[in-house]
Amino acid sequence: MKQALLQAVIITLLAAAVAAAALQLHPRAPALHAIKEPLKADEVGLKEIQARWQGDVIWLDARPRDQFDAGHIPSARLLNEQEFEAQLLEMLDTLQAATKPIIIYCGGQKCEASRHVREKLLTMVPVENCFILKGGWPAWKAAQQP
Amino acid sequence: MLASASADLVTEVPVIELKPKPEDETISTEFVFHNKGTKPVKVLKIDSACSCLSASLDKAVYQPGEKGVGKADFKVSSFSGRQEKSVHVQTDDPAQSEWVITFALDIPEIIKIEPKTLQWWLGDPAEAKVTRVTMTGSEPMKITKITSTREQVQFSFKEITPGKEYEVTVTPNSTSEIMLGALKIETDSKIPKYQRQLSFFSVYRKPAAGEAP
Repeated sequence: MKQALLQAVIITLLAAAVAAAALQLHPRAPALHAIKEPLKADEVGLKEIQARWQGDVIWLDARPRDQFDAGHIPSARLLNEQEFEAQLLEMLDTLQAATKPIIIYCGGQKCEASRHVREKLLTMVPVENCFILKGGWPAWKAAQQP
Repeated sequence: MLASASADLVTEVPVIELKPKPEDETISTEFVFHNKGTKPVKVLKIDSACSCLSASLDKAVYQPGEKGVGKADFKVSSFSGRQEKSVHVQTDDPAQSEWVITFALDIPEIIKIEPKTLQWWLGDPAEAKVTRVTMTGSEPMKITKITSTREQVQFSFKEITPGKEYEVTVTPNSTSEIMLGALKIETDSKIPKYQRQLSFFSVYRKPAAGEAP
């Protein structure tokens, strides 16, 4: 009995050590501190988007054009800080007719572009239900992995 | 007790200042930093908080006391005024797992539109509102033409001070329906990016008290 318990402890410790090593060494290891952070008032997570609106939202991509061109959430429109006014001009019709929530995302947890774009958008066009996707594009991509 | 060895990457100045000219589309700078710590440090990743700013360092590993050179490129685009942007450098040293480099840009504003958006709430009186266009650069600039993206507004402009100050008056035909639109303001600026400016107008639902926005 005692030996079995000891073996279980050893196995658990070994598994934890391997997991810790993987977290340190893996090139795309998740930022655990970011995952644990609670949602801010202007943020929503993918689960909440699914639960509240069944994923039926307007996506705005606040990343640079080259990153958008390389891949983006299906149906997302580009609205970034560099070309803000010109891009806003192109989507006024969409925003005018919008009844769905607007979700803005950028390149990840360190990225502030989506928050800046949201602030600019709301000062110029008082749309309702406008949020930032927590975790940004990496969170969306990770959720698509099998 | 011995202090544990750690890396300490620092720039020579706390904030790296950049001063683009009005006509600049991009601005680049090089900055010097060094590892003040007692341990070599490896740079794992560089993230920019703004899509407008990219930065790179001249190598990946810096020994204690070693100096390095970084390069940053900023896309000025339509930014104006003072902008503070940062890049986050992730390192392999737990004591300094993230090193933040801060840049401050003073981008000359040569045309100012205030307010940028004229706003009516649904049901408000459909009265005229005025936006002021001020040419704040050293050279005078004239408004040559204004067009609207919506037909449901009347607009006009008048020169207050030649080449310096203009008033643009906008009146919605009605405030009974939501409307988001823009005025395209054309100028005779010699700098292409200032030849067309935008101001916006909206007729929208008034948010309930305490509700965003």
